[in-house]
This record gives sequence, C-alpha cells and structure tokens, in this order.
Amino acid sequence: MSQAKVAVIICSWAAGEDMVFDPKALADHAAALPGVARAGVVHRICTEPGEEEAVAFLKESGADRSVVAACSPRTKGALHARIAERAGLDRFAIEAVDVREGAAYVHAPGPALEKAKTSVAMAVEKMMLWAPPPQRILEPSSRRVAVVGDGLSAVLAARELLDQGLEVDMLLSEEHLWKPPRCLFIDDSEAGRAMRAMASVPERARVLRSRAVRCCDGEPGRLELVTEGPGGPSVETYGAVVLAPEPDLELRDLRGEAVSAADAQGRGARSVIVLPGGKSSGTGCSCITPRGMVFALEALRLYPDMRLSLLGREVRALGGMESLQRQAQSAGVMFYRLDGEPVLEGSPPSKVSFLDPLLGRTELEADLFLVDSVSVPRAERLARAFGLPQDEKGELLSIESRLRPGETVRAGVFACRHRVGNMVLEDLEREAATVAARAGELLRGETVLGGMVAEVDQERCSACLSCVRICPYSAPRIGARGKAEVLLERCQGCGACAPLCPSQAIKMHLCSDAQLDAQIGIVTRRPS
Amino acid sequence: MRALDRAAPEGQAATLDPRSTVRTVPVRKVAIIGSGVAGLTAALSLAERGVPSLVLERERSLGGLCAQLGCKGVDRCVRCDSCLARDKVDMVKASPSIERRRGVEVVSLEGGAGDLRLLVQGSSSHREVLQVGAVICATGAEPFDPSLERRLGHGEMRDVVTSLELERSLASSGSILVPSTGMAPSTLAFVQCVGSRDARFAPYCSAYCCKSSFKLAQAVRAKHPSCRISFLFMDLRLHDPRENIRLWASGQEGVELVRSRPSEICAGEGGKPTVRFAAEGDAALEERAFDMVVLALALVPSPGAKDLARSLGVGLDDFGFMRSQGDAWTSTRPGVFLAGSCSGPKDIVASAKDGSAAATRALALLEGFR
Amino acid sequence: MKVIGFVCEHGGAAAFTLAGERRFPLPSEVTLIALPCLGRLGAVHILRAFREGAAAVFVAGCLEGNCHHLYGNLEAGKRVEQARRILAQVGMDGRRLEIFHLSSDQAWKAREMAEEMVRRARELGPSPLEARA
Repeated sequence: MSQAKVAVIICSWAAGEDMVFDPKALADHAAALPGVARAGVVHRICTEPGEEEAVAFLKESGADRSVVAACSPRTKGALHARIAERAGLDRFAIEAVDVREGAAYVHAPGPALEKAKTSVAMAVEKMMLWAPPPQRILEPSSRRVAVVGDGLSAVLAARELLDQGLEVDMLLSEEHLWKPPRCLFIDDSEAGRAMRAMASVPERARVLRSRAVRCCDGEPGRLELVTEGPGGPSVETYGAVVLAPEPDLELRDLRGEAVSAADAQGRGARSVIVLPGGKSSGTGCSCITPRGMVFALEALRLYPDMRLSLLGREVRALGGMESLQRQAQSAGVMFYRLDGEPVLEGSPPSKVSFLDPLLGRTELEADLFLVDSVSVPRAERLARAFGLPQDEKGELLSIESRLRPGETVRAGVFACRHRVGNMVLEDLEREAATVAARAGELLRGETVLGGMVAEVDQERCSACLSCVRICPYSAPRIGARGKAEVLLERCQGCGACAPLCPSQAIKMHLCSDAQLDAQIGIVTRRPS
Repeated sequence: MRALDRAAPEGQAATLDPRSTVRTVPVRKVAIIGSGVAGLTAALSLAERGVPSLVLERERSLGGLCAQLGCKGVDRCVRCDSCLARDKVDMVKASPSIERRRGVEVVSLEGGAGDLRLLVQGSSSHREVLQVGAVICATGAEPFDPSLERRLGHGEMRDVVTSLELERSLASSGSILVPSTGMAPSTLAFVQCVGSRDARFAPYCSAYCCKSSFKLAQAVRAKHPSCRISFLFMDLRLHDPRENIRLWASGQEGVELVRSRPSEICAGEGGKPTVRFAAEGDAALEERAFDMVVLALALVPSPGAKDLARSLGVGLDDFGFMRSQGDAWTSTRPGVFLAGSCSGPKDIVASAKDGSAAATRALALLEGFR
Repeated sequence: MKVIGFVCEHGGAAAFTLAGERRFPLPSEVTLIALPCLGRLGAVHILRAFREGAAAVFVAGCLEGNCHHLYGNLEAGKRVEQARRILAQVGMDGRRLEIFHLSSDQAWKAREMAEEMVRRARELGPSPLEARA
C-alpha cells in the first residue's frame, strides 16, 4: 500500500472562473500528501488541449492511479475514463472530486480552500486503497432479438427493431398472431397502417410458432432462451429479449366474446350499450374510452339507425382524442355518466340501471351489452421464465425507471407497459418504440461491465443467502462450490448486499469499507 | 397531434417529392431542435446507438419547460417526473457524442432526407450552416396565457396562481404559500382545464394537467396536512390506472372532488379569491372563497411554432401543432421527425418516449433500414 | 466541529451539486462522502463517523419510491435506526443522526438539511467522543 502512487490533477477552473482560491495552492497541498507522486494544475481539462495536457501529465507522473479535482463528476465521468485510458491507466483508476460546486461555489474563500484540501486528501486516501476492479466490455454475440408476444404490440416492437438493422425472432405462444380489434384505430388510415404491419413485419422476421418460453439464462448480449415447441425444447442465443404481452383491448359481450362493430351489426342488434370495465377491469376505473367511441362511430357508419350509448364515470380521452368525443356526440352517440356500479336486469339482460348524477336513477334498454375493460394477460409464465416480479393485477412489474423506460430488473430483458394513456394505436406504437430503443441501445452501444461491483470472498462466505435475497438484480447466486458469487453482467454496484453480509465476505470494488473508513478518518482528523 | 376530424389523407407519404430521395451516403449526424426532455432523450438514445447529435437550444440554459418544474414528492416520490430534466441534462453533458449550442434559433432548412442543411443563427446574428442527415424537432409547447381568460382573475388577484407559478415556487424553495400573506394556505382550489377543452382557446385536452395537479395536491397536503382542497375538474384523466385520485381523496379528510367548470373567480371578502361554480347534479350556484386558487393551464403551440414550421418546411395541424404523418413521430417533410409536445400536448414520460421513437426513425433513415 | 453527510450519487449528491451550481452558501462544517446508493451504507459506517469524533451525521438519498436501485434508501433507513439504538446505548443524543430524502433537483432541500444538521450540532455541542478521537 505504501508503494501506491497517486497523480493529482487540479483543473485550473476547479475554483471557478473567478478563482475563489488559487488552484496552485491546492496542488501544492496535494503534492505533500503521503502517496502522491505528482500534483499539478492542468488548464481546463474539459477542452481538447486540456485533455491532452492531462493525459501527458498522467503519463509523466509514473502513477497508476489518479485524483482529478474539478467540477461535477456526473457530467465528466466519461471524460475522466477516457483520460485514464489514454494515459495507460485502468479506466476506473481515476477518482473525481467536485471542488467547484462542492467548495468554491458554496463557501467563503478561506473555508473553500480548506474544504477543497480535505476533499482532495479524502480522494487520495481512497485511491491509495484502490485496486483494479473486475471489468470487461460487453460484446454482444448476437444482434438477434427475441420478441415474445402474440399480437400487434409484438409486431410493432419487431418493426422498430428491424428498422434499426437488428434481426428479430418473433415467438408466438400459438399458431397465429391475434388480430387487433378494430376499435384500436381512430380511422381507416390507422387501421390500414396497422394491418399492413401485421402482414409485412412477420415477413422480415423469423416467426417461431407455438413456443413457450421456459427460462432465460446468460448475460445481456448473449441471452440463452430455452423454449419448448411442437418439435421439442430448443435453446437459442439472443442479444436481447423484448416482452410484449398483448393487452386485451376488445369490447366483449357479457359472455366474454369479442364483438366488433361489424359483429354487432351482424347480430342484428338495434341498440347497444357499452358498459365500463369497472373495478374488475385492468384499468380499475369506470371510463368511457376512445375505443368505445371508435366502436360507436364505426357501428353508426355501418348501421346509421343503431342506437349507441356509452356509460362511464369519466370520459377518458386524453389529448387530441377530445375531437373524437365531439365527433361521437354530434353523430348521436349518447354519453351517460354513472356513479357506482351499473346493475343489469333481465335474463338474458335487457336493461341496465344506474345512477346518473344529473338524471338520477336511470334505466336503459338494449339488445346488446358490451363491456369495455382492459386486461393484460396474466404473465406468470413469463415472469417465472425471466425472473421478473409482477404487480397485483398480474402485469409484469417494470422497474419503473423513468430514465430508461422499458427496462426490467433483468439486464437485457425489456418489457412493454400497457395500461397507460389512451390505449389506442399511438400508445402501443410509443411503447413498442421505447422498448425497441432500449434493446438497440444495448446491442449497438458499448457497455462496460464491472467497475463498481460486488465480489464475494469465497473463503469467508457462509452461504446464508442474505445477499441473494436483498439484491434487486438477482446478481448473486450460489455457485458450483456452494458459495455465493456475483454475476458481473447483472451487478449494478448499488452495494446493498455488502452491509448485510454477516460474514463480511462482500467487497465493493471502488467503494470498499476500508476506503469509506479512510475517508471518514480524513474528515475528522484534519485540523479545522 | 392528430386533428382527428381532418386527418391527412392516406397516400400523402407516397407522393413523389424530389426532396424525399435519400442521398447515397447520408450525413451521420442528427440535429435536435430543443433541449427539453424529448430532445435530450432523443440525443441520449442516438448517442447510445452510435449516432452523434447536436442539440440546439434557443434559451440560455438546457432542460426546457420540465426544468422549471419542482419535485412534488414530500415524504415519498409521487412520480411527477420533474427531476427528469435535471438528470438528463447531466447525462447529455457527460456524453462525448452530443454537442450543445445555446442561444441559437433556426432560420431555414434545405436539402433532402439524409443530406440536410440547417441554417441557424446565434445571438450575435452570426449564422451557421449545419450539415446533418436528419432533424428532430423537439421544441415543446407553452402554457396557455391565463390573462386571456379574464373571468378567472389571474393577474388581478395575487392569490390566483397558475400551476407553473406553483411549480416554480416548489422548485426554488419547496414552499407552497399564499402569495399575499406568505402564510400556509388553509383552503386551496385547483381549477382544471384552464384554456383546455375550450372552443375559444385550446379545443383539446392537454393530457398532462389532471396528473400534474393531482401530484401538486398531494404535495400541498403533505406540507400542509390540514389544508382543505377542492379539486374542480371536468373529467378525471389520469394516465396510469395505478394513480387513483378518487381513492386518495376518499382517504383524506378535507379533500373534495367537484365535477364543475367555474364560471368566475372574483375578489371576495378580504380580497380572497372567490370561485363561483355549480356542483354536479345541483342546480344551485356556489360561491366559495379560498386562500389560494391554482389554475391548471392548457399546453398550446408556442408563438414561434408557425415560423419554425415554415422554416423547417413542415406542416401544422388544425390546432397549430406540428403535423405528423404516418405515425406520431414523422413530420410531413422527409428527414424531419417530431418528439414531445411540439406535436401535441402530452406528459413528461410520453415526451421522453417520443424522443426515443424519433431517434429510432432518424437512425433508420441514416442507415437505410427504412 | 465536523458534520458528515453520506449522500447517494443520484439524489443526495446531485441535489448538493445543483445547490453548488446555484451558489447556495453551505456551512463549511459539512463534508460529504458519496456512495453509489444509500443501500451501501452500513450502521458500522455511521458509528465509525461518530467514533472518529463527528458532531453530527446525516444520510441523504432519494425519495421513497425513487431509488435508482429500487429500495436502497429504505435499507439505509433501517441502518440509521440500528445506529440510533446503539448511540442511545452509549448515551449519545439521537438527534445527532438523521436521514433525509430528496430528489436530484431539490437544491433548496440539500441546503436546508445541511444547515439543520449544523444547527443541531451547535446546539448539542461537540461530540463527547471528539476528544478521544
């Protein structure tokens, strides 16, 4: 440890443009710290000449690790890694200290310099204890993506992937793709666009029918999908997997049969009432939806004398769908608000009674009752196969990452969310575009695995499973030797496992207990 | 945003347009106009797929409208997404393949898809031609000007504030206080659909406001648990069925949901904003004073949208938003894509997802996969 | 007198950085130690800080429901409680330790937290362990 040599770079703007303190004073202080091979001011490292100077500085220092005192590491992380690599250091061998926002901008000049000195000293101590972490570049062995789903969502996702030059396998659980309900499409042009996609996209992909996914192993870029089909089980390697379970967006009659506007006409129905899905539906709310309105307009087009009524608590037509509501109302579709649950009467039901806030207790008669409820197929099998959690309604629980929507807790596996927005074609397209973008970013970008990751000391491990239980990413697992080991490709470096290990067997690279202790020591021992 | 009653006729995309021919080797760079959540997401999505981009921002700082919003989580995150702008700005700054220019405006766009020349002008009238393969328009939308709706008293009463003003207060100091007294509000009203669903102004739903006001209401209650809230709305349009305002309100003492569009807000006793409204199912008019009233503003096309559309050679729809064609992210001009609320009002999450979708289309164009 | 703040990279550190960008003055007694996620924090680190003489310690991370790694912030809450119990056993005032939750754009909250902890430290006086450290 006493052999470690740290090079300290102070950026000329570390003290801000107005030089709250002299960066040279900081450099001089750093130079005198134990373990520091060389400390100096480099002019504006985030510029091209500055970067060159920093690289040269590191090379000449003979150090194998470095501290950079400048501005926020959040925006300079990639720059620092590049400087380290160009200077022949490990890309993780560089620790950034924000002395600008952390000291220069927030303290008076004297205390600012003192704080900067403390911060640099903390970073030097930390780097004295640094060791190269496990790391490798993710090299996808396949640019083929598996799309698991049976309907339009899967087709849309496949198209987005194909348009990025990726290869696609569509895995259907049945022989054929499910036909999307007509009520998803606001007009004929949308319907045409969707149906063309349904026909043409599978031609560009490889379609595997009647396939059940059993499990998925491997790492992102090299996922091994075990599926079972009519010909028996098979294993295929994919770069990524997209899960697009198809939501059920049909309007269904009371027996559960899907009914389109054409079907309603075919059954000779003269009056149709669309009831909201209510508590039992996937949306959990009793709304009149754009799909109900599209159905009604389509029905009127086919049979202008048909009487159509839509019941719901809210008219849930977001954004431009407002004009759909006006269109429907002008065409003579009746909109009724209801409070509470509607009650059907008659066997078979011929009447519905409900409480309308304005009209009071209301009764309506109809030949045909349809229910507009959204349900997402229960995804237990998929959840089990991929190790993903589900919510109480059975939909796959995404990690709700707003920074990276579409991601799941399983790296390389992306999932569509459906119960959002208007749930018409545009929403399905948007969701498909999102997950496909995530898959594309994984397969076309450069991902560095490792760095700040956990590693289990096999000698100390007592196989208590504490780490296995706490990890949100299922990164630790019990290996062949009966001890825990952390999968590099899954570990995200959050460190939640380390404090929980009763055998203190887990080391967090780049943020070890020894490093934290050393930093605490520097803060409290420095004379104020 | 699609004007549903007057959708573009099918087949327009197939019209032979000399500008639509892609040159043999498209310029491998995308210009992104606007640095809001949509534009930043598009830039990041392209960068992660190996395509460099240039983000052009008219204002002095990045982040767009979202950057002005404040976190509405008090004891827990309410998923308001206002931190997205901050996080994405940092990510964009960290990315070596994303260039940024602030204080620039678009003058004109020439060329065909794959080979475009975007003329921009900086603050010192210095003009520059940018050679790019595709353009993503992510210029966003603006909040409706409440002074156009005089009946609601914004500008006349200090304590009638817009949701954006409340957001700014949250962002800068985390406080929700009655402007004229500086005290905590004991009664507060949210008035939804100001400008929205209104034939005079924005005859559409602005999509973000029910969700946003719900979260503002949660923030108010978390900070001032005894503040009585009245939420005046037309329809409750929350995006995520897991977010249930009725459930929340029923579990709170002193929060009421009233389906009503107020006719007027005037200064009542003590200058307090007094809202006149008719509650659903009730013939009688109510006049109720509140310490504070928050107006949820419509999102309308920015004043510069028309000129920008002309400069870019893209069409506008009947509401004045950028017209999409084929799908929601393709404009009427080949090579120019749309993301975020410039094509129609939407919430932050949808704007971000738009950015990824537009990025894919730009990439597909540059690489010839479409 | 030292006040140590353990901050997570996503929520806490980002908010302090924003406070810095906005030039909010911060008390110089506060020094931050950055963690990848609050889940990294063990009670042992908190106690170490006190053992080394810190007058107050705070832990600042993401709001519940917004942890980048799902629930590291909640785990940290448990560690803080464990540490607080031990502090009580050794006769140290529990107010010297606090956990805060904030989002990356809440610069005002970062500042308020820092000022609050320094105020508490001043009120409670130097740590009884400072002389021994």
